[in-house]
Amino acid sequence: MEERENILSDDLLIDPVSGGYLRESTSWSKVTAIAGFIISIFFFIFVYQYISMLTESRSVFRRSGPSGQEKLTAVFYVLAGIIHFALSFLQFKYAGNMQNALRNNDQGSLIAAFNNLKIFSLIRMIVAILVVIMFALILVALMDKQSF
Amino acid sequence: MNNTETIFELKIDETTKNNFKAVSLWAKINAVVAFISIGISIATIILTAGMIGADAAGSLFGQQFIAMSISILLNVVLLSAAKNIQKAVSFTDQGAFNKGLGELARYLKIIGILFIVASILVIIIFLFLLLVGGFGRG
Repeated sequence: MEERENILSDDLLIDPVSGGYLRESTSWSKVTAIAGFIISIFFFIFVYQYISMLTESRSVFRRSGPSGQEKLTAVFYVLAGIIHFALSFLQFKYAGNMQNALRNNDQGSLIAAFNNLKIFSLIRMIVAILVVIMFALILVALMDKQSF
Repeated sequence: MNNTETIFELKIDETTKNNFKAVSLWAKINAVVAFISIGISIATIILTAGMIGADAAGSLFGQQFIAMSISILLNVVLLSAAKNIQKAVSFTDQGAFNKGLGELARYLKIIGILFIVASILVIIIFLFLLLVGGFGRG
């Protein structure tokens, strides 16, 4: 009787169809997160290499230090690496919580999983807006260059 | 029918509904921003053509074409997922909810495949740099 009431309820439910899709999204999120971790690690190695190259060239050419633009590039790469790692971590947590929710019918894990997805989407949106602003600035600079 | 009843213990409560609303809104903004970004990229290539010549710009467009096509495909799927989830949450529409989650799974699948390809490429580049001595010599 209770189950019958549940089926007829007006709420959105995780039925077998949506459950299947969530399982699929969980496995792919896990794969993406692991690949993301690998990319982040190599990214940090490349950034470390770039920074040590700057320091080395400083000592070879006896310059006072890396230029402002070089420092800015290094900071940009470090920030990009951190954001990428954070996004992969959130995706991994989403996958773990969702897997737990589906396996044990745990409502708490389901809420936590969608909360992870919410933060993930927020960061992605902010990054996308920043990237488009950067592209727009490049376009404006190009247009400016063409007009002169 | 019997196995459908056991999974019904999980439901979308108010907190999750609010999370879904935020996710779908941000995903929509994300997709629209990505479309704008593609438009800007095309405009940049057209403007660059004046500086680097039509042939070089054509080759640049060719290189960017694959990336743009993947981006369009990804964001059309994301937009569709966001629309369906928003509709599902607003009107308690189970069909739209399932469709939205299906599209979300498809989106994550494409991202997953792209990430696997990217990580393989990164590893290959790393190994190549190790072999040619690109690391540690400044």
